[in-house]
Amino acid sequence: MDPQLKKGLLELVVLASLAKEDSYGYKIIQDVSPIIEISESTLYPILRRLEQQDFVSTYNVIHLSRVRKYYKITTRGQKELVGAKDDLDELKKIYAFIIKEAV
Amino acid sequence: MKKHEFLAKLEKELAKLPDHDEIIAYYEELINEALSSGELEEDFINHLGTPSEIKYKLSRDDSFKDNIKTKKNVSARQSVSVVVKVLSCALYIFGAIILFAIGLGLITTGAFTIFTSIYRFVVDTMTISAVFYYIFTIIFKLSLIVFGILIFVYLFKFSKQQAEKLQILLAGKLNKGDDQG
Repeated sequence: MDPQLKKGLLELVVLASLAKEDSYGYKIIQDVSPIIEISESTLYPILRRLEQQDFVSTYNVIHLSRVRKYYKITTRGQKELVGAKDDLDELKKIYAFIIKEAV
Repeated sequence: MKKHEFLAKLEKELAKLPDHDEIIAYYEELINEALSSGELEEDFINHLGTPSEIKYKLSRDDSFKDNIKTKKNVSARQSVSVVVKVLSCALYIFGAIILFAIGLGLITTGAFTIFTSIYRFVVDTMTISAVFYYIFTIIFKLSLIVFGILIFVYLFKFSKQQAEKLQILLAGKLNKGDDQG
């Protein structure tokens, strides 16, 4: 996929994966990989940007000697997802147009 | 590569990045999770890529890039502008020295020839045209002197201005150095 297009979508995909339940790095990659290709080094900057924009918050859970950093979607993040739906509808129209003309 | 070796190498590569601690913690967590999910240590670490590859990918990310780029650009632009300003000040001073020499020459020429004209005026026998001639030359030489003096005054004011500017520039540059250091 075109890298620019992919970059914009990946953030939304990661955000969407957190909409139903909190998650952590390793699990996010597991859940998202079937939908779109994502590597560990790609995910980190995405999570950082999401946190910087206050779309997600984090908390740590210590289990035995391990620390797991959980990401949780914020209300702002949920609003962002809702807003993105309009973009995605537009994207569907664009996609249909391209498909129609490209064939 | 084993986990500790990988993380140590990664730490070295990422040392310059502002949030290198978080990044190391992120990768350590990933490896721990992978292991407890039954993945093989060496295989998973291979899958992550080499520390230098990871550093390359993370440095290329936009948010890092913007920070580093703007910082570099700002300091480069500042250095260039300071150098240009210092150079133009130096050029002004050079031009001022030349003007000084010219002004000095005019004044001494004017002064010297005025004296000789007055001397001749007094000593020689006069015809009307000679009188006019001497008066004219005296006025001309007086104006040379005035012109030379004007050049000096202007030069003095101007160099004072430039010297102040230079002082401020240098002081500013030094202060800036202190801030960044």
